[in-house]
Amino acid sequence: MIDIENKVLSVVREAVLAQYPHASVYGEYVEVPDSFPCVTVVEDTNYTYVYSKDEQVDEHHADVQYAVNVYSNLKTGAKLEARAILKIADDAMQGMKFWRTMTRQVPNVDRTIYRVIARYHAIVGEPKQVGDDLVYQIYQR
Amino acid sequence: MTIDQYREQFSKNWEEFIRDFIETGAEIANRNFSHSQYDGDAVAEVTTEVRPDGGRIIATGDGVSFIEFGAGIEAGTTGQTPVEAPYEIKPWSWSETMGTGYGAKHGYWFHNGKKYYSQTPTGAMQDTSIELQQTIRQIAGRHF
Repeated sequence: MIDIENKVLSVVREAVLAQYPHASVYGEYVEVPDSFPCVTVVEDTNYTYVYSKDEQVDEHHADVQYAVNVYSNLKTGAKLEARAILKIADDAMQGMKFWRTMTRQVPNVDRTIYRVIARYHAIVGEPKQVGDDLVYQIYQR
Repeated sequence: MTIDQYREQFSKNWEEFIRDFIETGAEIANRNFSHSQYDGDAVAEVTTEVRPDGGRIIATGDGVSFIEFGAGIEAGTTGQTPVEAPYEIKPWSWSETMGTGYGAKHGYWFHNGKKYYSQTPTGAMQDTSIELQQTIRQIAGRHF
């Protein structure tokens, strides 16, 4: 299985924390974050890209979709803060060649918190060993 | 078959393909919503729009956003002070017949007298689009 979730989370986390050092960034859904603003970057789906399977039914590419949730609890300016953080996350995702399939404000269980979500899509190739690192190629359609 | 006959037949096949594609998607979406973990009520209604140049699968209902995207998060005791709640937070004995509020520690909330459960996203419509992408060749094969 081609698994890039940790790498994607690392890139987005680094970008967000560079400008919002007190933010909490998670790779899973949480009920109560340690701090605000809060960002979750979660791989929603990961399935084999069937068109590049070979005769041995080996997986050479995976079709992946990610959801980025941004939450802000500012008394004023929550929307501005959430959108600013989403832009940072979006730049990081698009920098990795993901494409955004949607962005929208969605209701949150605690209505004192502003929430915006974006979804991303990419085709990822199998990794190649470069030095000590595994390098993945991400393809745009 | 003449070129004109071919064009006419292709146009008919195309319309049938679009209708089949959208109706198949609606069936998948209905199945996904029926399997989603929620409060057991009929919370999503799936309808379709079919046009000559395409179509849409539309899910409507009080719970659709929460099923699709999850319930989100709650304010903790750390971080910035959250804004004042626009409603009164009730304890465990909150009545289901009351208005909007949430039982933050008990995994549900209320809106207009209805009870909703806090949950992670199930992506019913997202999964529908993925399954449609994977079956589009089969659907097309029925018409071309």
